[in-house]
Amino acid sequence: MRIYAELAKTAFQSHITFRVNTLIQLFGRLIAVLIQVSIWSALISADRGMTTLEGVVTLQEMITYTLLSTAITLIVTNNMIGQVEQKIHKGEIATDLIKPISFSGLLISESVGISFQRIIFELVPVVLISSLLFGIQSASVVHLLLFLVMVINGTAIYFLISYLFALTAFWYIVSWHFGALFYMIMMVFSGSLVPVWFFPNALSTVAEWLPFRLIFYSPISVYLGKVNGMEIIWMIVQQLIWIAILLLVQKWIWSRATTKLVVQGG
Amino acid sequence: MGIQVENLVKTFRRPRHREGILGALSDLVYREYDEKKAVDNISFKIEPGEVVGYLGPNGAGKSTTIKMLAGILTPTSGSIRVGGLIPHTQRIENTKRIGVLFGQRSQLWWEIPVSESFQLLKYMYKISEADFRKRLGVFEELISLSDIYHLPVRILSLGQRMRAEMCAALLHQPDVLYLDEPTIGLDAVVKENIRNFIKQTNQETGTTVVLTTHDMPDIEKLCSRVIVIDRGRVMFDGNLEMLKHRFGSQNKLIVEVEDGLPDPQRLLLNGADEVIQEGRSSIITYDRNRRNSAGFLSDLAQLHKIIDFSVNEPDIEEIIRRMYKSLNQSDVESRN
Repeated sequence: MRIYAELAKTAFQSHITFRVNTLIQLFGRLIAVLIQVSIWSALISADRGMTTLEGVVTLQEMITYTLLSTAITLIVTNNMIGQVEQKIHKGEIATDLIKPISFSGLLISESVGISFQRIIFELVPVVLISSLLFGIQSASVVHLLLFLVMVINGTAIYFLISYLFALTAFWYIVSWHFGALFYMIMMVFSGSLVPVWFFPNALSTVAEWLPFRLIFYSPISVYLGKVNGMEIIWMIVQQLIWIAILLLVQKWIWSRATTKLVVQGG
Repeated sequence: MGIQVENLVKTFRRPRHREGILGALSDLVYREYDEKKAVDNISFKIEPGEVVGYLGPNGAGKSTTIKMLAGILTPTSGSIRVGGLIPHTQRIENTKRIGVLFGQRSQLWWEIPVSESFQLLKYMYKISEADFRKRLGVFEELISLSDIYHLPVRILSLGQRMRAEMCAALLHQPDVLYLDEPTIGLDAVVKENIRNFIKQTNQETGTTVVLTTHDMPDIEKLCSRVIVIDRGRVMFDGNLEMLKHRFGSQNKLIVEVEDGLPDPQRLLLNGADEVIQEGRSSIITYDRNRRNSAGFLSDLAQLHKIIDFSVNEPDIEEIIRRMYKSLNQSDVESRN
C-alpha cells in the first residue's frame, strides 16, 4: 500500500510547480461561481424562495448548493480518460505494465495526489472567497460529518466510473469522445449544475436509477438538511452498493482490456 | 530463471482503410479487418543465466515477443513460462522478478529527479534500505550515477537517461532482464559502458538476459546464443559460431595489381561469386568452402604483378545481412 501513497505524493509534488496555471484556474472557478449565483438570484425570490417537489428552496440554500457543488467538482475531477488515451496512443502503457502495481491503483493514486493539490490551492480559496462574498449556510456537526463521508464515497464512485470510461481506449485507441459523453451525463444526472429537485418527474426517475446523483446531489441535500434519518442511511448504502458493483465491473473489463491491448509505436 | 516458449502466436487485427471520401464513408458502415500474424508459432527455451540475442529485421516480431514475455501483451495462442509463471495472467508476480528496458521509452518519472524515481521503485519492489544502498554503490562503480542522480529526468541527455534507465531496470535485482534495443541512438562510449554493465550484471548475479538489437557489436560482445526471427517465425537458433558457419562462409579478397585492373569475367569464371572494382582495388567475394584465396592469387599472378592483397572474413553485421537477404530470397522462391 505504501507505494500508492508515494505515487500520490509524487503526483501532488509534480503538480504544485505549475503556479500560473493554478492561479488562472482559481480565477476561472470564481467567475463560474459568480455566474451560477447570479442566475439563481434572478430565478429565486429572495423572500419567498421557490417551490419544488421537495418543498421550498430558499436562495441562500441554492447559493450554498452552488458552492458545495463547486467544492465537490474540485475534489472529484480527474483526467484519467485523457491520461489513458495518451498512454495507449503513444504506447507508454508498456512501461506502466512492467511495474508490479495495478494499473487502476496507479491511475487512482495519481488522481488522488492531484486532487489534494486542487483541494489546497483551489477549493480552499474558492470556498473562502465565495462564502465571504455570497454567504454559505452552516450545517449541524452530524450533517457535516455525514456530508464528508458521502463525498468520500462519491469520489470513489466518480473515480471508478471515469476509470471505466478511460479503459475504452484499449479498444478504440482514441477515447476523448467517451470522455465528453461522460462529462455531459455526469453534469446532468449528478445534479452538479441543477439540483434534482428541479427535474421533471421522468428525468428525476432516471436520475434515481443512476449512480451520478450520489456524487453531488445526495451529499449536498444531506448538508442542507433536506433528508433525514433512514433516507441518509439508504443513500450511503446505495453508494456502497454502487462502489461494489463498479469494482466488479472494472475487474471484468480490465481482464478483457488486456487481451485487446496493442502497444503503439513498437 | 529459465524461459520456455511453445507455439507462441500473436495476431493483430487492424481495420483496412479504403481510399478516398467514399472509401472512408463505407468504412463507417462496414469495416473490414486484416489479420496480421506478428508472431507465428515460435518456440524456444532459454536456460537460466544465458544471454540471448533476439534478432530480426524491422517488423519481424521481436518487440511483440518481448512484450508477451514481459506480460504486457496477451498471446493469441501458445504458452509462455518464465520461471514457472505465466506472464500475462500473473503479471504483477512476474514483474517482480523481471527487469525491462525499452530503448525508445522511459520508465522513469519525467518531472522528478532520478533519485526520487529510484525511491518510488524502492517502495514498488519493496527493496530494503540496505540492499538499496548496496546496489546504488555497485551501479556507481559500474556506470557512475552521481552526476545525474539529483537531476530531473526530462533534462537528461539520451546517454545519461539510458544509464539511469539501466539502473532502474536492475534496481530490484531481477532474475530475467529484457532489453529492447538498449543501445539505440547512443554514442560509442555510452554503448560500450552499457554493454559492460550488462555483461557484469550477467556474470555477477546470473541474470538471464534477452536482448533485441540492430547493433552488431552488442551481439558479438554479449550474446552466447542468437535467435533470429523473420515475419514472426524462427529462422535460426544457435550459438554465434554456428551462425558464422552457416551464413559466414563468404570471404572477401581485396587485390591491387600494378597495371590497371584485372578482368572481372576471368575471376567469375574461376569461381568468384562477385567482383567489385573500386579505384585501383578489386574486391572478390568467394565461398571459402569451395575456393581459396591462393587459387585466385596464383591465377592473377600469371597476368599481373600483384602489389597488395588482403583477405577479410565477414563480420557479424555482414553475416546477418546475408542471412536476411537469403531469407528474402527463399521467400521469393517459395512464392514462385
